[in-house]
Parts: sequence; structure tokens; C-alpha cells
Amino acid sequence: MSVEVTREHGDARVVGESRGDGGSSAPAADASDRPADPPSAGSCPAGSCPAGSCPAGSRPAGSRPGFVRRYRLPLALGFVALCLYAVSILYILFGRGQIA
Amino acid sequence: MSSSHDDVVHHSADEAHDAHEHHDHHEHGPAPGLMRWVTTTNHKDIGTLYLWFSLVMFFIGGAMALVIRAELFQPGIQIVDPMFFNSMTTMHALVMIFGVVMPAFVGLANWMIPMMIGAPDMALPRLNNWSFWIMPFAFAILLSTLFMDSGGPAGGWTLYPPLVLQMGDSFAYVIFAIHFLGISSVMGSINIVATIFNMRAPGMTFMKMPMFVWTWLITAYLLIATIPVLAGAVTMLLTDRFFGTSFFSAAGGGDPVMFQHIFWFFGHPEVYILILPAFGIISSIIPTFARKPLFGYDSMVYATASIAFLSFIVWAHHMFTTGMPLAGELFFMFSTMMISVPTGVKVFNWVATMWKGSMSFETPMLFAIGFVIMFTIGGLSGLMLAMTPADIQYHDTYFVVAHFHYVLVPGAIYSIMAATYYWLPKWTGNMYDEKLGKMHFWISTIFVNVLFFPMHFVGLAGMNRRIPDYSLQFADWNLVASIGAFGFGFSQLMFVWIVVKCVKGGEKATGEVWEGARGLEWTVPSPAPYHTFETAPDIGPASVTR
Repeated sequence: MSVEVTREHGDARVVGESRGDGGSSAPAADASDRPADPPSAGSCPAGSCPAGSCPAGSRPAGSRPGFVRRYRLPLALGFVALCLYAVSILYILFGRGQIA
Repeated sequence: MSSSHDDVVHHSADEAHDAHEHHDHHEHGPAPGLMRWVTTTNHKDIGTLYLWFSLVMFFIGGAMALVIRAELFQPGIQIVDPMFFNSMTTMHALVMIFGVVMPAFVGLANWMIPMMIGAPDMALPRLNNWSFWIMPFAFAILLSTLFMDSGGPAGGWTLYPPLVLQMGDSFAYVIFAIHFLGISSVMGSINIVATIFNMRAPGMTFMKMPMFVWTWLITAYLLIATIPVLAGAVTMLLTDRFFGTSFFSAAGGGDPVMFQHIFWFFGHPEVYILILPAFGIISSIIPTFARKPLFGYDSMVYATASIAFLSFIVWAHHMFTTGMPLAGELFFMFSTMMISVPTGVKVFNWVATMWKGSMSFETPMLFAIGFVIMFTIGGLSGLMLAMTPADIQYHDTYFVVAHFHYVLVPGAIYSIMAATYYWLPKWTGNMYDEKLGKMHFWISTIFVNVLFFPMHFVGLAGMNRRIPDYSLQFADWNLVASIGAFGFGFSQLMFVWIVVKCVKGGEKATGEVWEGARGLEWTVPSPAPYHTFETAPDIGPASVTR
């Protein structure tokens, strides 16, 4: 499981890979893998557990993936959007001969 | 809960409620006061904000429509001057498209997608907050232009140059507002894609997702691909108007028709952005009240993807009268007609789902059936408009106005109302007043047809759109349409009354709410707790999640 939930304001953060079968390399955790009464997935802030003592669903301190890795899908989509914006202008500038 | 549902979904509403109470000792509910709404990152709160915003804008845009219909009640200039009339037609469209239908669908997505896929929230909650709060500011800028010396935008929502470049300085505000709305839409779409890809519960495969989630996933891609193109086009308008460039000015070597190509490359997929989530809603509601699984789920998914793909290669059917090579006319005519195939698949599947079902006709189902019938009317007139020789006759007439209003009002707006009635008990924990809901449906349906059906007649007879005056032969049907407009407009006050009444109280809703309801959202109590699915639901191979 790769989703951490910080309870304050219901803020859920994706900290890793897919939970479903969406083509992710990370295995989706099965509910049976969890502790029956999770203290746990979400009760400690991201990266705050000492290594080795993390309940399921949390990551040891220092193992949090970098910003780009964590947000690669939204960053990629945002990049595509910016490229489309730029291309629509550059196409007219250069492709349609507005700058010749 | 339906028996077929009991054995497959991970835990019942009661169990979920127990689990919820178990965690109460460390439950952080919403922050008190106004700041809850300003700072919230909770998907349900943000969904609620979007939906209320959309409702307010619905009445602002509706008031503009009533100004238009009041002016058109009789031939001649009666109430407003032509410039203001043109501002009303332009602003009505911008408000209804960007301020009503899109935010309402985003609100429904915020509320329902995490609950439908078993996620605790959206993937990017802070971005979600930003996506919403940009919008009121953008609309404040847009609407403020009506009070400026140079007036609001009056060249039509399509912003065609060179006409739109004749606007006064308030044009800059319009462009900035459109940019902000675009940023909001793109951020919201990225969030939805990231949520669906990353936050699905274990076992929630793509082909187990409810159709509403599928249609929104595809819609989000359409938004990411098209909104930046609109932004590019309006940026170029801005520089043409204020910085001396000539992108679209023929006098400077530019090409005004090029703007139309770019605009409609955005504009036609935008049409599907406004209707695909509606398809998802209807695909959720009809199986519930027919008490049968959706007929042809797989074909629904592929049809949605086909419609999205085709929407990118049909844009020039909006421009047949600008003159284009015969090969171009044929290509855009046939590609447009091809869209009727996957759309027909959907209509067929909805009808087949109802076929021999144990149907009941609660308000959401009434709106859903109304959608299927009246959206099909709009689709058929769309097929007529796809034919190049016919379109050259119909272009810029009220026939076109009738066509897209049938698609958008008894289409998109009806789907939003159907969704509201369908999920309102889940949101509020109370049942709405069924009798009033049915009354709202029937009054709306009578008036919406009185309003829009006569537009076919005056359009075929040659009445132009976006003109405050008209010839005497169109007077009778315009009078009828205006009566329909006021009837439809005021009947929506019933909707507000029903919603407010339901929010305040009423018969308590069960977790499942509807007998035939399927899907994860019905496994949590009503009202849905502030936090849902903090522990992901277990979805087995045989689970019914759609």
C-alpha cells in the first residue's frame, strides 16, 4: 500500500506507486497484509517512523522518494499541457510563416 | 442492499459505520467556521464547493438567458440595447460552459471518484483546493467586465477575430479570466488522472471501474489536450489586441480563419468534455433503477474512448461556410457522422439495460430517461448539421441553437440534476422530497421543450442567432420560446428548494439508499463520513463495483 493519509483536513498524499493494477511496478498491497487494527497507515506522518519500526503503509525515515519521482505523473501531464500551449503559438509563428 | 451486492463488496454500510466510530477518538472532522471551506483539502468539501458554485452560476447564467428571451419576446428592440444583448449571449455561454457544467462535473468527480474507486481522497488535495479557489476569482474578473466602460465581451463565446479585437480594454480581463479558468481545469484534470491511476483500491482493475470514473478519466485527458490550445489561441488574441502582433489580423498578414481552426480544435472536444461525464452518470443511474447490470459495459468503455478520439478530427464541421477544399468538407462530414456510431452504441446499451428490467421511476431515473430521449433529439439534429450542404443552409440559425441546447440542457444539465438527486441522500444522509422531485422533473421537461423545440422551426425558416431583432414571421414561435424560458427558469427554484430542504433534514437515508445500487460508494454510511476508505476496501475477482 502506498497511500498515506494525514488525518488533518483529510489530506491524502500519494507517496508511491499504484494501489490498483494500473501498470505499476509496485505490488498492490492486499488488505490481508494489513494489521487488523491499523495504528498505522496514516497515523504517523510521512517518513517519520524509525527504520524497521514502521507499521504497514508507512515508510522508514529517509526513504521517501524524491519530489520528481513522487509526482512524475502529474508533472508529466502538466508538461504535456505546457508543450501544447507553446506549440499552438509556435506553430503559427513558424509553421504559418508569421515569422519568416 | 441488493442481494447480489451483499456477497461481493468488502463490508456492509453498518460495518463501515462501526469502523468509522472506532476511529472517532482520533478523528479530525472539518475545521469550524468559514476557514473550513477556504483551506479544505477534503475531496467531499471541495466537491460541495464546486457544486454550490455551479448552482450559483447556473442562476447567473440563467438570468442572462432570461434577458435574451425577454428581448426576443417580441420583434423590435424592446428592453436592452443591441450591444448589451450581444454581451448577454456571449456571457451566458461562457458562464454556462465554464461556470456551470464543467464545475458541476468536477464537483461530482470530487465527491464520487474517490468513493467509487475506494480511495481516501484525491491524489493531490492541495492542488484540488487551488483548482477550485481559482475559479471564483476568474469569474469575478469575467463578470466585472459587464460593469466596465467598454462593456463585457460581445463577440460571441467563440471570440472570433476580427470582431472580438474591436472590443475595448476590458478584453484583457476576459482573456485573463479564460486563462485562469483553463489553469483550474487543467489542474483539476491532472488531479483526476493521478487519482484514478494511483489511488484505486487493490483489486479495482480498470475494467471494474464504474462508468462515471471511466468517462471522467477520458474527459480529463481531453481537457489536458485541448485547454492549452485554447489558452494559446486567446494569448495570441491578447497580443494582437494590445501588443501589435498580427496572428489573426489579415491587415498584418495574419489569418483570421486560422483562429477558427485553433478554437474549434479545442471547441469540439470541449463539447464532449461537457457530455462524457453525463454519459457516465446515466450509465450509473439506469442500471440502479432497472435493477440490472449495465448492458455492454466493455462496449461502453470503448465507445467513450472512440468518441474522445473522433472528437479531435471533426473540428472543421463548425466552419463549413468559411470555404474549404471539397476533400476537407467530405472528410469532416464523414468523420462527424462516424461519431453517431459509438454514441448510438451508448443509447442502445442504455435502452437494452432497461429492457425487461424491474424498473422504477424515482426522480433520478426520470431525469436519466429524459436525458436519453432528449439528448437523442439533439444528436439527430447534430447529424443533420454534419451534412455539409445542409449545414451551409443551417449555419448560424436558431436550428443550431436548438441543436446544442438540446444536447446541453436536457442533456448535460439533466444529467447533473439526475446525479444530484441520485447521490444527494449519500451526501446529506437525508432523502429528498420525492413528490417535489418528480414535480420538478415534469415541469422542467414541459418547459424545456416549449423553450427549445420551436427554435428548430424558426431556425429552419432562416432566423439568425445572436441578433436582438427579427422579422415578423418569427414572432409567434419566439413568443412561445420565451414563455418556455421563463417557465423553465423559475421552475429551477424548485430544485434549490428541494436541495436545501434535503440538506436541512428529512427521512433518514440508509447506506445503500437505492435498492438496486451497486458500487463502493453505497457501502459507506449516509451521510458519507468526512473520511472514507482510509483502510482500502478488499475487492475480490467477483466483486461488483460498477
